[in-house]
Amino acid sequence: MSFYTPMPLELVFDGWNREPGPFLDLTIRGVTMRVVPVAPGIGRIERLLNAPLDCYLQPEFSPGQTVCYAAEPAQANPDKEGPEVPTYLP
Amino acid sequence: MIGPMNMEKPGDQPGPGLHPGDERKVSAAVESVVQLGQTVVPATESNVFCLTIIGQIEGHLMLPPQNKTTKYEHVIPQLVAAEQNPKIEGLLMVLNTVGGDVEAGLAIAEMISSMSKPKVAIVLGGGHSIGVPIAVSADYTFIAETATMTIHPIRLSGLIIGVPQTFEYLEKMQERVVRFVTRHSKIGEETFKELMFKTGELTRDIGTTVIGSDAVKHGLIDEVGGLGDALRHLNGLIAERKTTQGAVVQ
Repeated sequence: MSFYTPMPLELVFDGWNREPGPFLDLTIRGVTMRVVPVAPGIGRIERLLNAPLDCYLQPEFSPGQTVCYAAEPAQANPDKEGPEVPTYLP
Repeated sequence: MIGPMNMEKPGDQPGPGLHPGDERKVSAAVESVVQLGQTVVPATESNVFCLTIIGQIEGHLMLPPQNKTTKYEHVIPQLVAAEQNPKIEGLLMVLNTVGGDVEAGLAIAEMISSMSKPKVAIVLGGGHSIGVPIAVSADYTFIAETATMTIHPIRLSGLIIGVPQTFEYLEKMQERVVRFVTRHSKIGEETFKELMFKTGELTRDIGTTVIGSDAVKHGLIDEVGGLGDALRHLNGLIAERKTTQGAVVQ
């Protein structure tokens, strides 16, 4: 991998061996995203996995934003059937 | 007798005027206040999409959390959405980056340069290393008077085999950056390489740091300016594009 930065690589890669995560993949309002749980029912968006194109222009779906997923427990496990969640419409 | 004119009956008064989509937005905003204590600033419709490129450009590897990163997997769909959204007429790119992954940086730069909508970039603080091709990918570029751009050779991370082919590979990778920058700006290949391989300028590396007007002097950036200049130029480009499109339709 080629890195092109004036920052010392030992600073960039500091903490490299600490495993990132754990991650949780969930679907909120029709947007599938990977989040890092930060508190019970609250997660920080790591990235969007599957979303309508317009969602990428919405600041609330940007990586680093916090989302509340407590009301949608079934979405964490796609195998289980859960309540109908309204899908995102721009 | 003076009385209220055109007074509407209670039944005639307009309702809150919320469409189903608006209701959803309001409920999401309320939910965000109740659950997370976050307030959402009411969004006003703008015809300009502002893209910020900050920190490290993150590529195929997730960087440790002390890095502020620009994630290419989010920026690329954002650019696609901006290109296809008819409400967005121009792109304003704000850069303050220390570079990062070559592949991801060049991918973003290629995406921006191939957009059909007008795009203007402004370098604030710093647009270093792989930030240089991203900056020059816009139609017109501004740099703040105090902003800097570091031009230096690419480096490899991970296991490096000490054979001539390693250096040939590195040279090829570097050539991609040099070719993109020279194709999208007024700087010549010779000048760019001269800046890239200059010694005695940087304390820990070889290369050059160009500040504000120096970047303009070398032809890397079009003009020294700030936010007002950038927006004015972008609006001009948008108006020009509208005129051209109108002429084509007629």
